[in-house]
Amino acid sequence: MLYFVARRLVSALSVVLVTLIATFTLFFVAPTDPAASICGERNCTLQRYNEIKSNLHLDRPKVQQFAEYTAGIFVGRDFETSGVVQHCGAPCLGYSFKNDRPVVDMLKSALPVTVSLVLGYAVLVLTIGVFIGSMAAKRRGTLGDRALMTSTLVLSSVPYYIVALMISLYFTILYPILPRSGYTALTDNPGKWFAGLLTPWLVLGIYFCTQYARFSRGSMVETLSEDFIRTARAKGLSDRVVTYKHALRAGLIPVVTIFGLDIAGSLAGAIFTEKIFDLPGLGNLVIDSLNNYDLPVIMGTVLVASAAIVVMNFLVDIGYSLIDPRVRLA
Amino acid sequence: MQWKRITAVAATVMLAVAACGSPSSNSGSNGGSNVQPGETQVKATDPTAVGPAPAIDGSKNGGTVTVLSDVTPDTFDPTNIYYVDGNQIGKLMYRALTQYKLDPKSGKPTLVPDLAADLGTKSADGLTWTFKLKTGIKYDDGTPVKAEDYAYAIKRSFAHDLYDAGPTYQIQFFKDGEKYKGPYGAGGDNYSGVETPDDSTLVIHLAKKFDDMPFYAAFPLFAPIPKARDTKKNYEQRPATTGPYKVASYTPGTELKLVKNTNWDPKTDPVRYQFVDGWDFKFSQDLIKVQRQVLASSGPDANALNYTNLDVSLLPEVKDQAQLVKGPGPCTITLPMDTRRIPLEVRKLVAQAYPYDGWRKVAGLNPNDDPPASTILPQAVPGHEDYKLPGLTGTGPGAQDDAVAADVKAKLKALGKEGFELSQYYSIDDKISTQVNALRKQVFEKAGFKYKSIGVPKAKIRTFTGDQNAPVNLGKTPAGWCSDWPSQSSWFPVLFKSDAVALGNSIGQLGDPKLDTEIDRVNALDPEGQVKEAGKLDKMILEQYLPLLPLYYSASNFPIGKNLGHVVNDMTQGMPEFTSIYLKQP
Amino acid sequence: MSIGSPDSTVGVEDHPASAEPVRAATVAHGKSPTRIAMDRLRKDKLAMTCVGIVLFFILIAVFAPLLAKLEGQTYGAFHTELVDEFGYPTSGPNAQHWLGVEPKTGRDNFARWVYGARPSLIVAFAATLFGTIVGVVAGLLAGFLGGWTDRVISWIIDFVLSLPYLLFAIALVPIVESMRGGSFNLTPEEQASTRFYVLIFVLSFFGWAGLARIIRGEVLSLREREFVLAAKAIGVPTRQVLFKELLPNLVAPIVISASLSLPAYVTAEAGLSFLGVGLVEPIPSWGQTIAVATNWFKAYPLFLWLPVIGITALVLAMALLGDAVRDAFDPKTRR
Repeated sequence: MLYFVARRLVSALSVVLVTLIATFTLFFVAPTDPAASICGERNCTLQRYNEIKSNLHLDRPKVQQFAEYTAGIFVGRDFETSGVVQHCGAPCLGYSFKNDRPVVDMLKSALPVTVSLVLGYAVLVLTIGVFIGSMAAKRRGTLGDRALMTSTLVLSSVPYYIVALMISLYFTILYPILPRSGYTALTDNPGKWFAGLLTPWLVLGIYFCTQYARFSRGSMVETLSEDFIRTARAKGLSDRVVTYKHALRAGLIPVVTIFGLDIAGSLAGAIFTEKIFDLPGLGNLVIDSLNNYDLPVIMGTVLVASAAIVVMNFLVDIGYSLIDPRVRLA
Repeated sequence: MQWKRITAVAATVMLAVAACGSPSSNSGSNGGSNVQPGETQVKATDPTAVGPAPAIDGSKNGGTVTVLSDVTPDTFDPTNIYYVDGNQIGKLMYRALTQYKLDPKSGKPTLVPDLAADLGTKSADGLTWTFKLKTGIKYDDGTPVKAEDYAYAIKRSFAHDLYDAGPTYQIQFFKDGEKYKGPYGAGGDNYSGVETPDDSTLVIHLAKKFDDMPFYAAFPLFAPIPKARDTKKNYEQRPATTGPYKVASYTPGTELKLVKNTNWDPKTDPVRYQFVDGWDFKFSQDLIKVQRQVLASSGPDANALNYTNLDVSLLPEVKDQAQLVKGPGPCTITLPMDTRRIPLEVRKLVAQAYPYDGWRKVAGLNPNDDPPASTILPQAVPGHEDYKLPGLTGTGPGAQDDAVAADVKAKLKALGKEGFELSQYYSIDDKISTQVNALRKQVFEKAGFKYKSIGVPKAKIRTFTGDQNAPVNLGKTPAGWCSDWPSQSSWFPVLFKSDAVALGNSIGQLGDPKLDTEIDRVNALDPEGQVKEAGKLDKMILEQYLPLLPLYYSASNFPIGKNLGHVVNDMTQGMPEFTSIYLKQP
Repeated sequence: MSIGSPDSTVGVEDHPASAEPVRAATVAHGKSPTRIAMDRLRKDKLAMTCVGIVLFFILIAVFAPLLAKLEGQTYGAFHTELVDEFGYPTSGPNAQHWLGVEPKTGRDNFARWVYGARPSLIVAFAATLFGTIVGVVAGLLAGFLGGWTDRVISWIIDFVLSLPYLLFAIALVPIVESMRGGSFNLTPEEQASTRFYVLIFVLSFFGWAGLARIIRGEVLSLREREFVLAAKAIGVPTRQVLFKELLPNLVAPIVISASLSLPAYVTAEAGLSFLGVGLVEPIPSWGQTIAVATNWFKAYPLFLWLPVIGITALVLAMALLGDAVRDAFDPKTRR
């Protein structure tokens, strides 16, 4: 077991490291010029440009720059602009000169938005999706099952952003039956926080619960045909107990696995939701930064999101191996 | 003065204004007619104005106004503010030496003393300005404002490396301006350009004559800064304020909250009011969304406003015209032509071929919002004369019309300039810029030109167009210009003199000594003389040099919530005048 | 079992990759699993309707110039005389402009709509093609060769799969673009086609890994089978074993994966264009139109609905078809 964990850990760390190198290479070795975009449009003299370059250590060898960036993540680093030293504490993911703030600060203000979004989404898809899925599995083959499954298939085949866009346009603006979206910090005003996120949650939940309904239906169908269920039935346990106590517990494992991976992925995938519902989360941050060529911010966001996925992968793997020892051999 | 923040990252001023869908209005003049006579701003001063500002009928106290802004002012550091939105928001917090007072009826600005007790006195040689200062002024923390704080603020403005966005006239005109590098370096305290002989006098020494000094003194750059509270780049987080409001919290790029400054004394301030309890500025909002919100005015949105011009697609949603605040602005937006690369005769043909009408539609301008321009000076500048040269009215089909296209083609042939190549940068990642570019290409090629367009990312286009020697012959920046203060002196000498090329401000890259002499002659006149001559100079440049095609004047047309009272347009900046706003039902 | 004739479908017949379901289906021998699946698909009315819809869009895309000519318009010509001074079209659909014109520019909606089908389909098919080729080759190599090759390829697969796909795609577009000559000094047409290739590259870059993982798994189980061992034993070169022995057995997962990834790529292309990092003017594309039309949806709903209907119908048909294809190959999923 220890060997398995160690091996997984090494592999996870190597992925993070390579992501770090890859993003760094892409953003800093690619023919883009951070100094020029920082220097700005007005008053950018060659002297100032060179000064920025040396302040940012952009004139040093790439390898050294990379080492400094990596070191900054663990111990923080200082940036000097025009005689003023800006400290960027660990974990330092670079400094956005466009906004004059450390990247971490910007991530910190965007993260609660995305996390709020994803949390609500998680609750909705798990409850609704699993409920629909297990209902359908129990009534497998009936008209209700087929209708349910066909409708989830059709809904999940329509591109998500179309659904979100149309709902946002028609039901929050033209016929305002849903509250208009917006973000208020939970600590500021829980009521506003809830109301502002309700519509995006509903849209996310309704759309993506279809996938979970299908996952959990498949998984439940499989579980319901297994021997231990037959045994349970043979013991004379009621149908309800068999389905919800025995089968659901076993059937949920693969669903939760997928969920674990999905949650990490949805941190990045919230882009459309944030864009359409205008929530200042990570996704909007990336798009804005892209429009401003604010590369340190993009790089920081990509790194954090990748790391989140790797960590979730790792946790799921370990969790899985605890439940099912056969996995360790793979 | 530069246009709102957004333009700094966009193609050209004109495209940016179009891109954010913010066409503007000429005080409600319908049908695209030109400047209305009588709206012209005169260079008027009133050294005797005293506080408090005259009462406003129906005004009430209390409540909080929310400003939902799609653009983000880059800074609120008084030394660094140059953009119009930063300036106008800054007016709530900072008091400089002088300020504009808007006429309650016509909206015309009058320069009045603010923290200064007069508008400055010029020495006989014009190289020394002496300002008398009001006494008993306090900062928001209750500490008294001292004369040396004004001097310190001026010294601070020379640290231009640090405050690189701020205005630079002090470097050009003040004594030792080129040498002195601000108060932070070694010997930074010793600057002979400012003196404070006693607690109520500020003396400024100049290197060159600068008769617009009292106007320049209205910039927040001249707001007093106590040396002890200067935290350099972080100063904007906790600035020492003298205006009716002070900073409660500031999150760069996201939100600025202001609350009442109890140490502000209305009796010393001839301009500002303190009706509402606080201000909540939210930046980086989605334009269409917030404008729709403001127009709908449901719940808290009734107390909100947005200061970008109304997007044209929202016009059908305007139920109540009173929700739109209109008025002239200080800018003219043009298409510059590099006179070194395009001969005058060809420039005239470009003017003839340009598809003004089609361009206005594709760029999203409309006659209610963006009056077509026929002159260089906008009407907000004294001396603006409303003349129209044939083919330079900012309207007309241009070569979209077959006959015009054929005519231009024939004339080009006659000049032996068939297939003359016009070239221009455009933002590849901006939809409107790309579309405008496609339109120009279609039309110019129809008229017998070659048209080469070079796509660059929106975020970088200013570095390309800002290069006076860029390898294109159309559309270099500055393409739009706004008055720093209401005088021709912030236009012609800055834009059309030979040395403007080296300074990076030239429109058309003119280099004619004859024109230089004429500009200098006009600039040397007294203010009244300048006003008389400005219109003639304007016309002469367009007629004889044609370094640009005037396209349209900037104007305001922004949406406000239903509960806001007394929102007027400040024509010196094309922004709402914040300090006089009150809530009808607080 | 015929070892010597790897070019025939005999091996496929006897040893289908998804052997279990086919055996379970107890279909008479003599038909390849692919044939069987196709037969099943043909009987599926829903699937056939979807094939019809997809074909309809392909025809539209292929004959876009012809259709536009029939209407007598081009997708790029500005008709500013057809919009009023506020940018609103002065007339709805009529004989000259079958679906009306675009606000502000007055460009023809019908022509833009039929041309808009092109990038969606081209990007989707090209990305599927590249993704499939790379995925299959990588999967085959990893599964068959094992050892270090496997470890390296598997690691790369894990790596690609652990990247936040959408985020990376968004970040990659401008960077790949700037590497490929940069977005400076390009004409609009060059710029637009650069974006086009960049988009195909980015989508296939993230698309191959999933398939490669599946193929690897299949190959791992196949390579221990007798016909492969025998082929290896008599010294058939590796390349031949890979492509002539193994590949025919992998038709099912490849077809399934390809048919499921097509709608995903159409969705992704339009989505990225909607966000502003996909295709750019002057190439007309549905995603871009949607982004513009959201501002006009109240005043001019037709303008928004056209691309929305286009994308929805195409993606829905493709997705349902992909689902039907999977069921046809592997009836177990339906149960």
